[in-house]
Amino acid sequence: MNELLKVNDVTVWRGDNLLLDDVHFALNAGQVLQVRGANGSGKTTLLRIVCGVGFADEGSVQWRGESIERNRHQLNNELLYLGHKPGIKGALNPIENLRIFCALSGLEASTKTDDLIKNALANLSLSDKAELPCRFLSAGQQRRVALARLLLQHAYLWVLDEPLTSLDKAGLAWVENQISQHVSNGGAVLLTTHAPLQVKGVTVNTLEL
Amino acid sequence: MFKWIHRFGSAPFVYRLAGALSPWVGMACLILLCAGIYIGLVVAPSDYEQGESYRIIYVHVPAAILSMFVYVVMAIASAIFLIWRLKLADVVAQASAPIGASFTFLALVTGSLWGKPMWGTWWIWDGRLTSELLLLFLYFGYMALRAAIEQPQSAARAAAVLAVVGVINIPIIHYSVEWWSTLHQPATISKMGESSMHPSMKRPLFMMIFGFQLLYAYVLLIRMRTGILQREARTSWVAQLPEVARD
Amino acid sequence: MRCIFQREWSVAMRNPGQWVNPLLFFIVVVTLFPLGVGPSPQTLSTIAPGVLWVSALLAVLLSLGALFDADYSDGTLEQLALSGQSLPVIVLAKVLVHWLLSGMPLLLMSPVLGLLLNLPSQAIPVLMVSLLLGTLSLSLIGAIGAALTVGLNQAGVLLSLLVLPLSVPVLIFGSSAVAAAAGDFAASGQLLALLALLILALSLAPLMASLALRNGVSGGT
Repeated sequence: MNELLKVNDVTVWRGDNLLLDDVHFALNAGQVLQVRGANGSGKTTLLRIVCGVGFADEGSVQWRGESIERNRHQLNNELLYLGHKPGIKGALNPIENLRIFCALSGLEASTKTDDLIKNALANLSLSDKAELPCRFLSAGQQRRVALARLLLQHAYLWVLDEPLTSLDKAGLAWVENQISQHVSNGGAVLLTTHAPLQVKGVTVNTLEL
Repeated sequence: MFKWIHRFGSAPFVYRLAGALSPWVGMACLILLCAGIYIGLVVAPSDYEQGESYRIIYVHVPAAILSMFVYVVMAIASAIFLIWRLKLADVVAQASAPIGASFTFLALVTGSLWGKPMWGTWWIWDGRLTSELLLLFLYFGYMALRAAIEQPQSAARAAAVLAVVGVINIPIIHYSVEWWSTLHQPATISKMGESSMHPSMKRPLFMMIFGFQLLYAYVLLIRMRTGILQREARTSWVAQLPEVARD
Repeated sequence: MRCIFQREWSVAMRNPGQWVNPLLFFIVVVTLFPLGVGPSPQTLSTIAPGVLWVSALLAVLLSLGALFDADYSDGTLEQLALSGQSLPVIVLAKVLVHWLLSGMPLLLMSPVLGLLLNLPSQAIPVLMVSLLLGTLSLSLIGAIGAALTVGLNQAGVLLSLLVLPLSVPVLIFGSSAVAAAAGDFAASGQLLALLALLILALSLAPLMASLALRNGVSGGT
């Protein structure tokens, strides 16, 4: 089964404005699709619809050949969605935050999981911030905490909404490296970003909105 | 079977069907209501205990029955909308809410008017009046929630969840309020329409109840047409309608 | 479930306002009544069950308004909705934590306020049991309202409009249980009714709230 995601003729109206007009694409294993467009062109809306947390006026989204409304459970188990809002609790420290995400994706809370989390934070050079409440971290550091999920959760489809926001050069290279590894392992990535993306060994398809 | 449901659920079909039915329903409603009011207010004998003031039951009782009935219709339509995603069911629910609220309001006002000669006060915390009042709040909540959410699909689903929650609660509210009012008023007050009535008084009452149901159906059909037009405003079949194309 | 529970607990413990404020609200509102109706012990003991119950109801429901708001605005809610875990269970865990932090303190404070309002001492145990059963149901009912209004402006007023009519049965049975006990009557019937309401709320509210939450998450932009 090669074709993972299929988006058919998604149309969205905002009041009297046509936001998305018959958007359609398919995403297969081993592919990267970058959605591009000006601010307000509906990139986030499209990504949310793909994940099943948005309404389309017309059209449908299929995951592994079945509509996501019926197949929601399977999609949720195979999806990693990193939204505009990173879902990081300011009152909790990075380790506690990531424990939640591990629990939500079915990883048991254990010392083994904690070791994984610490390794992931080390990989993102956040080891010395691991015990600090996230509200004391900078925007870029918070983004890195959210990105640590890429190392912890095992998902086929990554949907990343502006993952590079407030990241430095090293962070950008890290994300590109992760994407390239994920894709070469048979995963698929759907993302929006304004920066040009260079992923080793993969051509990045683009969709203009 | 599936085709039939599909056809019945299709907006242009229902729009035309509602347009074709509504004059007939309206006519029947008018006849029944006129006859019911005439017989109820003029022909029927006056009551032994209450004199002429009992005649308000010809408005009060049908309004009270319809206030509950409309909420149940709304909740069933909402459940259908939530389960089968049938957009038309949401049209029915949305169109029903203000009608139901009006009936509830009418029942409250007439109940209060009737209370003045009977109990010497405009309002009494009687079980039925109190649960009518709470029902009115439920209708207001439904409409306020719908109005507060901008995204139409989101508003429709949230309101549908609320209607279903409400209909589960209505019997509980009703019986707890009933229990509460007997607790605080041990002396039983004779309630409207409950004591045995003479058939000559009952007949116009049934005519009025049926007339009110037709009135609901009539207004519902008209409001459904508007609701369908609003939802389908961007489609080609609406643009081609003679009544739309003219202006 | 345990993980969500722990997370909620640690988030809440680091925001003391979340659980102190409802308690203070409860105390202040109850204090207002003697000032409004006069300090006569007879009057106070007649209205005490109603006053205590109405104040507890308002304290619980007003504090519930923000049950999902923080999670909504920082993006946690969509992650919860998109996780493979069951959303009703998550909702239930959140409601329980919220109740432990806001309903429980009310419960513990209520005997003192009962004495302030001249409530006969034999009614105190019934007051506490009725509040235990009733505030849990109210938290569950309120969670539906909070889920329906998640992410909306002026959600507080709308929430009250939606939830107050639904909470009438709890109020009726709760305050009448206390009133019965204060008049030396048996209150077991009312308490059983409260228990029945709680069981119904426990079985239905998490489902309805998660349905509403899923929808609320999708409606946002």
